[in-house]
Amino acid sequence: MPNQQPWALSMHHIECCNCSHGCGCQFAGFPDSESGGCEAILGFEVIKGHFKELDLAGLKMVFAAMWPKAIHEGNGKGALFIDSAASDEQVTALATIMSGQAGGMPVEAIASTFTEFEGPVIKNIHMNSDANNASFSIEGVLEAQQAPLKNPVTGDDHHVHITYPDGGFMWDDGIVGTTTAMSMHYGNMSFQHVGRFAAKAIANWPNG
Amino acid sequence: MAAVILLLIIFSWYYMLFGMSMNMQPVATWSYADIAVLMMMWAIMMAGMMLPAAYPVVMLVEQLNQKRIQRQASYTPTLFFVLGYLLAWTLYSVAISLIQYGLHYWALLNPMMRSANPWFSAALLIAAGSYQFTPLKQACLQRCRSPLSLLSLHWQEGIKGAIHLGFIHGQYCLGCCWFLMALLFVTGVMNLQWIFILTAVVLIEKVVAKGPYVEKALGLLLITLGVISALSGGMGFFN
Repeated sequence: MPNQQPWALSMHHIECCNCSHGCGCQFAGFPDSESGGCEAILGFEVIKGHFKELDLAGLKMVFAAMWPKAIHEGNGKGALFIDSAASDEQVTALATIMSGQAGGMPVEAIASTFTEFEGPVIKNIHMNSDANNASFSIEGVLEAQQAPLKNPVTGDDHHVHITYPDGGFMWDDGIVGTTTAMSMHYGNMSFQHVGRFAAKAIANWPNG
Repeated sequence: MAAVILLLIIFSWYYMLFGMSMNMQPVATWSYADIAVLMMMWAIMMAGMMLPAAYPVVMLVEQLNQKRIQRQASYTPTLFFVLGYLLAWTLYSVAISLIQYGLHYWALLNPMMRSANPWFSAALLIAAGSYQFTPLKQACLQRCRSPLSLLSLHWQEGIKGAIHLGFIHGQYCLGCCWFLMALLFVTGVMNLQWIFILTAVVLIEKVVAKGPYVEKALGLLLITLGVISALSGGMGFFN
């Protein structure tokens, strides 16, 4: 892809959704959740990144979204929360990127599936980017705590990865786990799913 | 864009319902023009049968383009995306027409373009059913059902980029459905009932959340039909 976008983000990517541990969306585009829809919260901590000349390293944000059916079928609602440590300029930059207005995959493809998009909302974000026990929270709004999958026989931690050697939709290699907490209550978005799909990865955008 | 796709589908189906006419003489008497008409017929049939399933992907590309046009960024013209998609199926149409010519030549098809040999029908049904369970079919269906990944990984701007993107998606669908389409040799290439049934099956496999179950159920059904066909020996299920 000719990369004309003046931005790049390399981030800790902490993903939690309402699918079972394989997450149907990762492979066949359709969620395998009970409702048939997708409800997810994703935490991001920028390791290295810029928008034009502006440095974005160290910033934290959370992206929450709900789609009534498969993501690509649209009608999604999204909300973007940015940590209060970001300057006004950085907030504008992240919001421009995450709403797809600066182009670049996969955000641009995801953005095209939203009919409602809220934010950026400035909040204090707590985040821990640990590989197997990542977590993030915004007081009174949302919470996510990841944990490793357990071997059902021995009870030991299961180390599971989903890897896309040819490149994945959002990331190429994810540590797959589960959630011990996962909830979101903000505006007209409200859901809670514990013990469902969780992945911790390093995302490098724009990809493709 | 929705209107353009709809028109293309209507045109293809109008042709299939009212326009299809072929040289039903033995192939020995066919001219190059007859073969060209056969290829064209396959190409229009494939457009009519595959475009309904491709509609959601096309609209996703269109939506992305609209946003790009709004902010005056370069985009991937949707019409050329559709063209790239149909290009893949047109290449298939050329190949399957040549195969059909061979099948006529070997008298496996009768001049009505329908299987003339119950063993050939049985073998085709069993093979098409088995194909539903192969890793290749599964991989193609997964990619076919996941249009966001297509956009995320292969998005390119410009006319060439659009044709390329459409062609890639067409290849996935081709990998899914080429054997199903070849079943028309069993039922009659111009058998409208089966053209309709296959169109519906392809659509369900691709755009319904439980599509992969349908994929496997269909595989079992085809194998069963093939076995019944073979067991009934000289009679043949469809003959």
